[in-house]
Amino acid sequence: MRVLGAGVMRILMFGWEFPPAISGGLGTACFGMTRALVQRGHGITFVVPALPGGDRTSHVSLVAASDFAAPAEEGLPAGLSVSPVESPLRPYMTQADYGILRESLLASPGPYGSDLFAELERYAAAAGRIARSVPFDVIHAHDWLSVPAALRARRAAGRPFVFHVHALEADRSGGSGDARIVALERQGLLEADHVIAVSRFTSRMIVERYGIDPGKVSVVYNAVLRGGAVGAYGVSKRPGEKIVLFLGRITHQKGPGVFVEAAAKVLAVLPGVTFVMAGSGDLMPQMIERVAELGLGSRFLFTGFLRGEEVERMFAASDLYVMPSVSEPFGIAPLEAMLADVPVILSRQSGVAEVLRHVLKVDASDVDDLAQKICAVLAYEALARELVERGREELAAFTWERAAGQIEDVYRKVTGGQ
Amino acid sequence: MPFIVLHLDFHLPLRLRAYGFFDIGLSQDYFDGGASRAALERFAEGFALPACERLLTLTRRHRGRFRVSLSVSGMLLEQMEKGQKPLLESFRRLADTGCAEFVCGVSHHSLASLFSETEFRRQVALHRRMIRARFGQTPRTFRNTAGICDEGVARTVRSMSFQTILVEDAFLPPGCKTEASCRLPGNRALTALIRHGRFSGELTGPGAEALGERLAGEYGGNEIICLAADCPWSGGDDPGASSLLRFLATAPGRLLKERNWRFLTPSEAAAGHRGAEGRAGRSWTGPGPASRLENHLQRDAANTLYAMEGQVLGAGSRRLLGTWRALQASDYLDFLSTKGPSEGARGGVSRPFASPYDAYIHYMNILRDLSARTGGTSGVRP
Repeated sequence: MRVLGAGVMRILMFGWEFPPAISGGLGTACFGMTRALVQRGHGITFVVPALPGGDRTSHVSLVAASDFAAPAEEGLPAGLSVSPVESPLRPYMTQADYGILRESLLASPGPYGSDLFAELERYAAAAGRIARSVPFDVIHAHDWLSVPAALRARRAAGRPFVFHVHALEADRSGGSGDARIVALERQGLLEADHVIAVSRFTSRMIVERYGIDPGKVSVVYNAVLRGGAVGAYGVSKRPGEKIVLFLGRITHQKGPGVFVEAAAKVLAVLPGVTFVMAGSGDLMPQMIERVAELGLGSRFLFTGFLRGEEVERMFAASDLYVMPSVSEPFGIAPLEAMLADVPVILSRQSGVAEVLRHVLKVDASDVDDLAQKICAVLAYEALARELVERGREELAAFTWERAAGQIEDVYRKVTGGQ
Repeated sequence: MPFIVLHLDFHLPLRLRAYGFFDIGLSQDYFDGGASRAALERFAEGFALPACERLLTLTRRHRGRFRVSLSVSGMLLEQMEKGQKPLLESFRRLADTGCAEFVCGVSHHSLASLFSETEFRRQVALHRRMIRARFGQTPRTFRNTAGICDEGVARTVRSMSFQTILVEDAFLPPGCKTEASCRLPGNRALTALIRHGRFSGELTGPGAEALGERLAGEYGGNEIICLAADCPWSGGDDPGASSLLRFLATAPGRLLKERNWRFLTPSEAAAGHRGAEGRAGRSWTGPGPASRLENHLQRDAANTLYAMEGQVLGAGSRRLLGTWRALQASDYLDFLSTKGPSEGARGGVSRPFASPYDAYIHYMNILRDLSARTGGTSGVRP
């Protein structure tokens, strides 16, 4: 048992995915963030809807709502526990894809269908029970799914609530989105004692679209964890072969259509290039059709969803990573590409574009500009070299240690510096 | 008796167009005429015209005791002839006062000296002809782009009968220390005037107004203080430009109040004060391209540009040669700097492109097109 010193917090955190069972950037971000917070001496109980396979080896104490009373002890670094809540929300944890997941949940009469909000209610009830049994100083909740749980915990224990926004419904849907989700987001934003946004881009949206007081919103940028094996892959490519990579959900938000159209323009002048679309999503059939229609089949590959080591291998084989997202609150994949020494082109409609200088930037809908920049990176070797070398230096500043320090400031503010 | 040599370098590059990869082979519009004219107007109204006006006033008011050294790049001269006659006229009037020495540079404000001695020589000769034709002076003093100097530059310049050379303090000849003037080792006929780095920096800094006072307090003996500023500014809203204008408004008048202070042209300074002789036999290799070209983008762009020399000359087209020279303006390489908070900027130059990477892409696309037009292979449409 750790003796809590001055300024050390006991944090009750609500998320909905945590490694190794993750489907997207949120779990990765939660992992890095909690690890850095624990290293700074804080204790974290991390509540998720469910834990598949019972693997709870982690630096947090993972708690499932169903069995929160039995915190995992073995193999856990001190200070962090994770609690899963047993509920039909489980597919979140195993579904590959954040967006598909939301859609499958909302689909009526899908497996959970209109029951989703009832399930959230059940998660919230469990959260209330956890809040009464686990001592803590501050509640930290990630994204809309955690809002009912966080609010219930606050009601139960009377501790301040920090709402961490990684993505908003408007980003995911590309339009106004599901009204019930937007309502949950608004409730969370209004009731939170403080809001953390992953970028100025997201912070602006919170202030403008949800009418939140800008003084209540802090921006904390995500970081990226350097994996052990980056660059260690032997990649077999034909000499001179160039690979341009899209990696992400194939949904409207990620701008796959722009990527396909740009590919056609690039191939018209540089016919030897290979384009890879890695990921899955509702627009995938449409993309495959469009590629066939443009006659790019021989130069265009669809890999399906990649995970873990496959992602690293894919990066290692690529000469350029493109993120043409229509709306991206932060976007951690460009940082991962940079870690793998891959030059990056990203859309200005992303939070990560605010902080990166050593990448090429395009407007999300500007197919021509994207295509010309892809050509430039492939044609001018010095450009790729400079981007990669400067990018390496730039990445050094993106650490979870720094983010954890900023999160700590928020905790101090909401708890009155206790 | 302290002496001041005040040198101002006037130069403005043409604005490049956003030239996409898909323009290669289709468009020869490398320069943005409209943006270039607008930049010239801002440069003239916001800085160059008021600066000339102040210099003229100083020469009148102090009846020959105020002297100034000017270089006006060939690229700027050509632009003024097309679209800024009043500014050209101001320079002419300065030339007529007899108090201004026009210093020869490299016609296109290029870094040719780092890459090709023959092209360097041609551009120096070209600039000399331009000055002779416009201002009726045959330049005796030379200053390379950004004051770059080494043994090769000194030799070339001497062989072209220049007697004085203005040198950046970073490129100090061996044995010259920081004295303001010295005879170059093994090249006694050529006198180098060394720019005073610190005070020259203050010309364009926030303390410019008080510089006259400071100099008066610091010097009393027989020193030469060489102040030189590069002025590639976009206009009066540029802090460097407004500082220099404030300096001209206050400092020379303040210094000339002291009975023993004098301003000299570089030739006068060199004739009267040859300084110590640099130590011969020591190698003076200079800093080479590395000092100016710090990253992959700059080196690649410059190497690509100068690798085209043979094919451009071989193509035998005056128009293509002119285009190639215009693309040599050092500013285009400065825009590619990726270091520091002021990315892509050097000495307050306003950036026409969003990032050094964008600047590089447009520039390289242009070179690729030019290369194809002069008989090289573009590699774009196999």
